[in-house]
Amino acid sequence: MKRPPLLSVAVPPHTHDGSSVSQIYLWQFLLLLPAAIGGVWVWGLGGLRTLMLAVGASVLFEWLVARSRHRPWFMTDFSIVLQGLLLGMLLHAETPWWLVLVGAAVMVFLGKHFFGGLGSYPFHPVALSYAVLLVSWPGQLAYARQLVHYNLAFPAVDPLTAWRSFGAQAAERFALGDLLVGRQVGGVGSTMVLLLLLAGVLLALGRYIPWRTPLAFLVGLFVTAGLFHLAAPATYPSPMFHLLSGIAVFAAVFLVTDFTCSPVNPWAQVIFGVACGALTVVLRTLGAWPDGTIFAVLLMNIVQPLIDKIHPQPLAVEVPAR
Amino acid sequence: MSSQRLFGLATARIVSHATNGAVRALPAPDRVRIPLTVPGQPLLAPAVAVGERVKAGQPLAMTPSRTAVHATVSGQITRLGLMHGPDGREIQGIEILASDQQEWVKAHGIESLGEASWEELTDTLVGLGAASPWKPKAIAETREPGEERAIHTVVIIGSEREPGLAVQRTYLAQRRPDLIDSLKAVRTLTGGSARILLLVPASLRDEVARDFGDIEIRPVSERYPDNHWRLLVAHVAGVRNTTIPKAREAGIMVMSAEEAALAGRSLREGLPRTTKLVTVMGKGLTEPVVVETVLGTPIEHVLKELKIEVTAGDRVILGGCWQGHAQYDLGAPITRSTDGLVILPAAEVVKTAENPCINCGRCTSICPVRIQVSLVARYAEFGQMAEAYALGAHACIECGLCTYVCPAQRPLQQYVRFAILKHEDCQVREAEGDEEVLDCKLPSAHDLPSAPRAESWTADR
Repeated sequence: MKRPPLLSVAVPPHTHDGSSVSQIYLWQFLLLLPAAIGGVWVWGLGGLRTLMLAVGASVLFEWLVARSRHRPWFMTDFSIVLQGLLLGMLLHAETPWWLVLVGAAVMVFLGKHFFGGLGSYPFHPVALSYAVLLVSWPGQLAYARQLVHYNLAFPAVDPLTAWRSFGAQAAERFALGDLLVGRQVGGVGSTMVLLLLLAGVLLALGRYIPWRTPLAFLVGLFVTAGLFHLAAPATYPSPMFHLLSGIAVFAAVFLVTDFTCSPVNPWAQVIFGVACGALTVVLRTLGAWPDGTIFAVLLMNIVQPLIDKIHPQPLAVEVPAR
Repeated sequence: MSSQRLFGLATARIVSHATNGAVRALPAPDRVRIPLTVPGQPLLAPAVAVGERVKAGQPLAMTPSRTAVHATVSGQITRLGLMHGPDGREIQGIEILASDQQEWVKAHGIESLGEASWEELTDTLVGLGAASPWKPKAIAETREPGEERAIHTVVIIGSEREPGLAVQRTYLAQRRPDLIDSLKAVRTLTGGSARILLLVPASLRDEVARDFGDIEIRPVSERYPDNHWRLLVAHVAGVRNTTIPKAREAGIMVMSAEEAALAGRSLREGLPRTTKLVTVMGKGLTEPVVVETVLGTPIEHVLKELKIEVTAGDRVILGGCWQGHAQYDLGAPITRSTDGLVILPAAEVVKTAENPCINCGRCTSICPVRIQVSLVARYAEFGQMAEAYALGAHACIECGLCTYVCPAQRPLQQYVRFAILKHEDCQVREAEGDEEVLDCKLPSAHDLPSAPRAESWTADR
């Protein structure tokens, strides 16, 4: 008697579109690379060192977590490479090595795995880690620290600090074109506005990030900044300045769009984005740090589950009228 | 059966194949297995016993309202008892060893369906063991209380149950005369007052409209899940979501083009329906093939005739890739609702697993009935069935798109279905005052039913 073959059995559906989590993070990583390379172009080997240290340390810590939790090989998705690179790009080229390590450790241990890893963390790990560094070592993280080592062809002060210190007139001295192509003082690549925007458009088209959230963020930021500017043009810079300086676009494309801590429903995404954009301008204008974007992101992360309660009602089964 | 997203630029666009190939008639199998079930109705004890000889078309069992299950070949009954149904549940079934010479029961057909009277049609239907569902009075003495209700709309669906199938399309494209005849009979049976609606795929509309005269034809989308049957019926009924039994309660009768056409042929020939068209696709086939075979044909017979070799790890599905049931027994039969037979090679089998959700929201945005799939699935995963149910899980039409698009390859629709079944089970047990109801509030996703008791009818040959 010939035994019948053992068949594979499961409940339907039996088909899949071939997408995967690693595909999502790999594309995000690949499209972030041009901006990172742009950062290295401006900040040279120092920038490259910061980026590689951040990515390397993050991967190492992720490996430690995977080992200690008896998880399968840790790089099954590419999220850690992306997050390591994002952290590195927020830091400046001359960040002390130990600070990068502390940042990576906070990001992996506290930001990501303390809450259960990918899919479970309530705050964007990169934002959380950068905020911890910013609050703990504000002096070390100030972009001005790196400037002694560079001879720059553009204003050697970061635009937001210039505006906060010297008013809207100082802000007007920055050419918008310079800001757009990343000719401004900042982290290693997080100010490469044009490349980041391009990456954002491609990612949104490929549906590797939601499109409503970043768009709503930029609109919220632009409108709020516009209102401030209209109220007192001498004190508050133009909305374009807000849009192109600092990490606004970086946050729009890579921080507020993180699936795990941003909403999934259409109106929730719009509200989340607009509120986050508005909060960014408010924190930039009134907060203690020149660029309050990171705190705006963290604050909105907290309320994300609440906002996501705004969702469409399911189409319940009805008995048709006779 | 998976399509790679090209950088994801294209959203999943799922349409039915336009296979207008010829129908391939399969030779009769040496044995058939017939489930003794009639959808939605209880069945009385079988009217035959093991060892008895039956003719093709002979009733094997009947419902109180005189709907019968018929022998599809003539021969000797070799088994009677529990078998695996197409969805894996145990059901009563019967096995017939086919004889060399096929004998049929005596036929009482109607030559011209268009001119037949209502009495003539109902008598023939009842004689065939297909109690007329249209006019309750004629069968009032045999029906169960509250079982039949008047029908004001008959919807005949000419689009496929799932993408990839080509059964209804074949009837619309190649077997129109049967369908036209049958629609004439349906009109007489409903007393001319009911609205008859034929839903056809948009691309076949012009071709079909020429022949059907004054029948109301409505073109429907060829995109999945827009052409999901429940959504089509809901649209006709003027609501946003319904089930086919619920539509029936409201007086809307739903049948496939195949059912309609075969009913017409049965009336004309005076013999019950014994055949079925099945779309076979997958391993070893370059394109889908439509085969015609007798009801009850075991899968292995179809595979043998088409020279498809199934090896360990392959998945054999009765139905389509979206809603069909995977089989563990190649002896499982083709039944009335089997529109497809898919053989997925082991390499193409999708491996869903309990991976963590990354909250990307693709499932939620693609859900045609707007369920918060990711939330419902997470509740179900952690045994919070009441919460999952409260979010509207029971609106699910089981189209399968959530699982299809999930990048984490989570079994999303499976979680949703699990939550619904578990919660409804709990409610029933609560109503019955079951002491162990606490236990069913905290189930685990691994809480699978024990192995079925029905023996395999394939193993010992």
